[in-house]
Amino acid sequence: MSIDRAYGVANQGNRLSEGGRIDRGDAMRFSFDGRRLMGYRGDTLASALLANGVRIVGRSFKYGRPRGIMCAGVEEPNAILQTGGREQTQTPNVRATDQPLVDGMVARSVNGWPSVETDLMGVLGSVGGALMTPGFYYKTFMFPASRWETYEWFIRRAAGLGKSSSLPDPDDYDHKNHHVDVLVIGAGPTGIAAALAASARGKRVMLIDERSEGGGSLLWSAQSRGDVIGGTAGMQWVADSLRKLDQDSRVTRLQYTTVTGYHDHNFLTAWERRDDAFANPATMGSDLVHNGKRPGTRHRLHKIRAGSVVLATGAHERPLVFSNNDLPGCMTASSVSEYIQRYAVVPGKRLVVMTANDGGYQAAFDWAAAGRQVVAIVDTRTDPDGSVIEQAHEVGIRVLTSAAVVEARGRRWVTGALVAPINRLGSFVTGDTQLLACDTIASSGGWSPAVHLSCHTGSRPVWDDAAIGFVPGPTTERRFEGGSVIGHHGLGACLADGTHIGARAAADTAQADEVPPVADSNTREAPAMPLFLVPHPKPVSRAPKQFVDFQNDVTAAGIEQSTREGFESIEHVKRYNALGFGTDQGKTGNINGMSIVARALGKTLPEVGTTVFRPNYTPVTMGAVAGAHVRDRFDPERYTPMHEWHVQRGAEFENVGQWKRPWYYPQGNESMADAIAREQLATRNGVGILDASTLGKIDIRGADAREFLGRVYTNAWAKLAPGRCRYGLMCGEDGMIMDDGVTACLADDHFHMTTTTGGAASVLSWLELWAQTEWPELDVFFTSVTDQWATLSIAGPGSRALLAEVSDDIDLSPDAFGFMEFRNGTVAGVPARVFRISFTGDLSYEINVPAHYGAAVWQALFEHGEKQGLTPYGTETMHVLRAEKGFIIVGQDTDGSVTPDDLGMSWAVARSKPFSFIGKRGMQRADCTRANRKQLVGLRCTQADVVLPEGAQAVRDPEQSVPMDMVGHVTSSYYSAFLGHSIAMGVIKDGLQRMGESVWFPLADGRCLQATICSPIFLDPEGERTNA
Amino acid sequence: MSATMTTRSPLSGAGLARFTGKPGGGVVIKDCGVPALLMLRGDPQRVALSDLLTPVLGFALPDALQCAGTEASLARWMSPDSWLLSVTHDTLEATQQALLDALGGHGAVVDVSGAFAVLELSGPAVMEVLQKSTGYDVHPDNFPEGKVVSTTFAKAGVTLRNQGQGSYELIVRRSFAQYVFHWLVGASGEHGLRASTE
Amino acid sequence: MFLIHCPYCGEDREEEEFHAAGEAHIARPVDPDACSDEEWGNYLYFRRNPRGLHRELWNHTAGCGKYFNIARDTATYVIHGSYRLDETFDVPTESTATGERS
Repeated sequence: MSIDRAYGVANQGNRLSEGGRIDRGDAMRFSFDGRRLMGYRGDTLASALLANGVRIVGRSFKYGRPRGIMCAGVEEPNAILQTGGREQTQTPNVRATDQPLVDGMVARSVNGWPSVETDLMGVLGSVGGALMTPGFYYKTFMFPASRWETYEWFIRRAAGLGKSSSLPDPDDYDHKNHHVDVLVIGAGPTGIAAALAASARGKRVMLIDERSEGGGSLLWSAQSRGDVIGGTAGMQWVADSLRKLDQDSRVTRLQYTTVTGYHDHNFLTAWERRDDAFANPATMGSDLVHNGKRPGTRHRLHKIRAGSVVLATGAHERPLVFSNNDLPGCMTASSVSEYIQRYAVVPGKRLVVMTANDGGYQAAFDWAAAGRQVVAIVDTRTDPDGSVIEQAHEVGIRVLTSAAVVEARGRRWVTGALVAPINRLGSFVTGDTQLLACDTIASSGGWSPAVHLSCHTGSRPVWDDAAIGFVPGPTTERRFEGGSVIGHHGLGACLADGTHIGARAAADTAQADEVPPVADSNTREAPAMPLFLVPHPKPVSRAPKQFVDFQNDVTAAGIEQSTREGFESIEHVKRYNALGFGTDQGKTGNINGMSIVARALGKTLPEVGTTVFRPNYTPVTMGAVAGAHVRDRFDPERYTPMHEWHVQRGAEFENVGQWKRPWYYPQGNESMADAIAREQLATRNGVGILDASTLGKIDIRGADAREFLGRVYTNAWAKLAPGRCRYGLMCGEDGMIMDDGVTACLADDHFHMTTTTGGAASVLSWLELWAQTEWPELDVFFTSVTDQWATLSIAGPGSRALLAEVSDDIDLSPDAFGFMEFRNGTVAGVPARVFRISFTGDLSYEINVPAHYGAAVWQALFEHGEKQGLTPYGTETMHVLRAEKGFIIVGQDTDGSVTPDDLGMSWAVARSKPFSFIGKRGMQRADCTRANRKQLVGLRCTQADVVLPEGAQAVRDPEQSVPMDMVGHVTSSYYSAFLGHSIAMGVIKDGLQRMGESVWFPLADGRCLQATICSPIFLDPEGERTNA
Repeated sequence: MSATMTTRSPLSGAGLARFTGKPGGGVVIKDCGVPALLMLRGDPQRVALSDLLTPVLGFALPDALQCAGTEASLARWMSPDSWLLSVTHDTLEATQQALLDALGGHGAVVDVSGAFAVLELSGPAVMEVLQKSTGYDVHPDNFPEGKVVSTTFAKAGVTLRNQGQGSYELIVRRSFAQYVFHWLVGASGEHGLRASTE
Repeated sequence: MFLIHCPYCGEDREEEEFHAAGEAHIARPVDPDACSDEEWGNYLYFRRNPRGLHRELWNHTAGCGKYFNIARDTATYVIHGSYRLDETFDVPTESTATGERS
């Protein structure tokens, strides 16, 4: 079977045999709800569907009414489809009008249940529609709360707008940064003219356009209108201009890229869809056949910082609001022209046009030129006298004036238009109706400027009577607007605007460029009529539904009802009705909705005001937001110099901040608990080694270094001699513990500070903050050396013997190299700083060597230590070892509300220091000195093998009624294989005064554990092991 | 320095070898191995730094966002009171001591050879990759040859230098080096990545 | 995303290079021990939250690492200027609107 027959290329019944900007030589297969169809390169999914005569593309959100394609651009409210042939490529909320057809594309409608054709909600909607009033969900599903799960299932099943893939997205996304002098948004005539003017001044220019090709409105109007710009045909001028821009290396031009956000200081985000627009069909891999990832970057988010921004974003055509205006076949007038002109698709056979302005006539001219029947143009204006009226008469099209289509007729799609005469203001019907048989009703209520981006930085749009719409308001950004976004719709005006603001945006106020002359056949323009809601012979509340926001099924009657219920602010009406809440953000419905509010309240539109739009202008894929920051690049993974060794040794890793630290090193089938016990016993009984390279390290040097330390640490530093180390506590000004660590005195004016792994960066900024802001007179410099030093911590009674094997120039005897001292020397032949400090309570040395030697020295230690059973241990064993000694971990045993006194560490606070060190005054606050504060204590569970859960809340009386009086919680808790019982630390109110008392821990699982308050030092309180 | 001990480049475990010997490549990456780096600290508002240090260095310390010196001894401005000085391994210790002596206690000179990885990026698509990685404006108008900036690169902090001839030096803290390399592999994917040893 | 001028680097840089460090010009009492609880509490916790001009301390963390001040309008987000800690800065009085409509 040939492709053509299988996919019905011959069935494109609405496709014209010639014309359009499609490539008939490149046919593309696609499917819609299982039907296999055919389109051409250059089609959108929507134009291909219309070419194949597909009229119903979905069911409406609330009433389940059939819906068809209404527009031809991003403003489309109805044709929101699901694409993707496989689970991992599912894409919800795809606007068919904005989605280029891709060979092999699989598309489905999303909100028909069980199907678009037989929709259960449609039945509900037609019989119970009157019940589904605004606030329906608020009113109906509020109570009883216990039923919510049922309601939610029903609502989601019945409503839903597509679904996301349940599998990881296989595709690649990324971000790209740009800095330009002038960013032009929109490549219509205004934008192109602005880009030309700016680039002519040598500026770095970016021109971004959301469509697959540049030209804006010229794409669908230039040919039939016969636009001539500067002596060349409209689209030829576009092609020439874009070529000229592309040849300028300082111009970046992106098509099929939507500027979705306008942020502070002219920072904008733009979403580029690369797969869809530019994929080479030969390598693209169709969605039907490819098995996973698309080649290349699927979507790219551009982050643009612009000197000036030119908004040439154009306008969206506003449909008129009339009864049953949601029937498939009701479209905006310009989209009818666009389908005919750009895609050679005529969406129907017999057309009725309703328009409140001259622009709507073009749809009829294009339809007639395509050889199909125009039943009538219904002009709502009284006695319009524009040249288009004469033109209509010349080509034999019937024009009815002072009339309107008050109602569309048809069950599943349009079969007729009910037309009635209306008064001059368009507020009521003045006579009898007549039914015109047709299958398409194109309407034009005018053009709403696309002000969305202008709102993002907090600028409110302002009403412009001439534009009959809201235009961008004042801003503090360097921003310029021109063309139809400010209501200038004529081609000549757009080109003049663009040329002018392009030069201004390029900071050129002196020179004026020549605006290309325009030949325009529309010589006499008749004024447009401000009409939004078309009157019906029946009142709004009783007329068939008049839809305002199609995506959320918001009707004129619903809006009126909400004003009767007392909603007056447009912000409240919007939320109550969900007006503009859809993925289209009300691009077609908002102004119509506001006009209905204004009418109901007896106010003018500017008095009612407008809601503002927030980013994003159109939905952006989550992949584009994440960019390349995914998987192993989601967040930096920091490795120590010995990382590869740990990996080869089979370590399990723990994330500590961004660091990957060995957690434990399981052997064979060992469980975690077994591994921890083995590592712990090997260290306590022999020698273990920990990679402590992640500790923060700061080189502090200067004549005032010692003074500085005295100010930022709570303890005394004046007398620390070179060669000695000291443990220090660092507090905030509030007196709460912030960090701790050991600092060594390298020389009288030179110190090596260590911080916690997590605190390294914040401590350095803290030191810099004080040095730069409060004490600039102190002569001291801080240099981060965290990465400079690999830190190998050996611990256990065998550590001295091991170190002796690899170091022959340091006297390791206890007398020569005591606890809390440091020595320079060589270890394994490498220059090293060796600190005799201990975080385990055992004899211990921290060996610091330059990072590039770290792996080699580590290896050398194992070569010598293997025979002594040198055992690598990870952070979990480190935690157990330190907890046995009652050593705290800042951030685990403290939480920002703990003072040194609370930890029983008053010995580390030198209150007599002459300078009022940071934290001193804070810890003197009444609240810090009161009784009954939570204090750090040890906790022995009465069941020796039961480990108290960390975070468990303590009570003094387990029999009390709920809510119980909680007196503290467990901060650290482990099983100590060395001690043969569980150990824990916790903060308990007045704990230091309550040694020996019991506390209870009632747990969520029903157990209630009892523990005895004790000293947190479970091992070697005299320090014999440490000082060995 | 021990003759028996081997040093390890920060990128030694990153798997650059997969990308060596490939012909072409839109982006070329070079691992510069273990550098010889000194962080020089001194406050020009406190002491006459130039007077003190120019005789030792043979050149004046560069101003903001600039570099000065020669390939064998190049100072990069890092902040108003710090410069990253690259020297050679055999001159490092002597240079450090000479600078400390010249500073006379006002300032610091810290050996940070182990603290950083140094990479070079070049190739026809190098600008594309830089634009994907940093929010800094790397256009030659703003980032000409000789300019040095410390900025963000993906989610790491780096110091970038335009070395001229389309080549950029990228200095990153050692522990972030593999992350940056993985990032570059991804960002270069569409252009082709080649690892160079020259 | 602000564009912030670093007075030490002498350039406008992206906000992601900076960390905000709170209100500027909060001086530590010369003698904290002599402060009443109220005075100390005011220094430690109480900050202005104006609509309009606000002076803020920022740190160029990913750049030169220096702290500096900016004068920023909290309503419009216009940054009137950046200045070093040893400088003062007077906010210009002219209008901050820079764009225009054709």
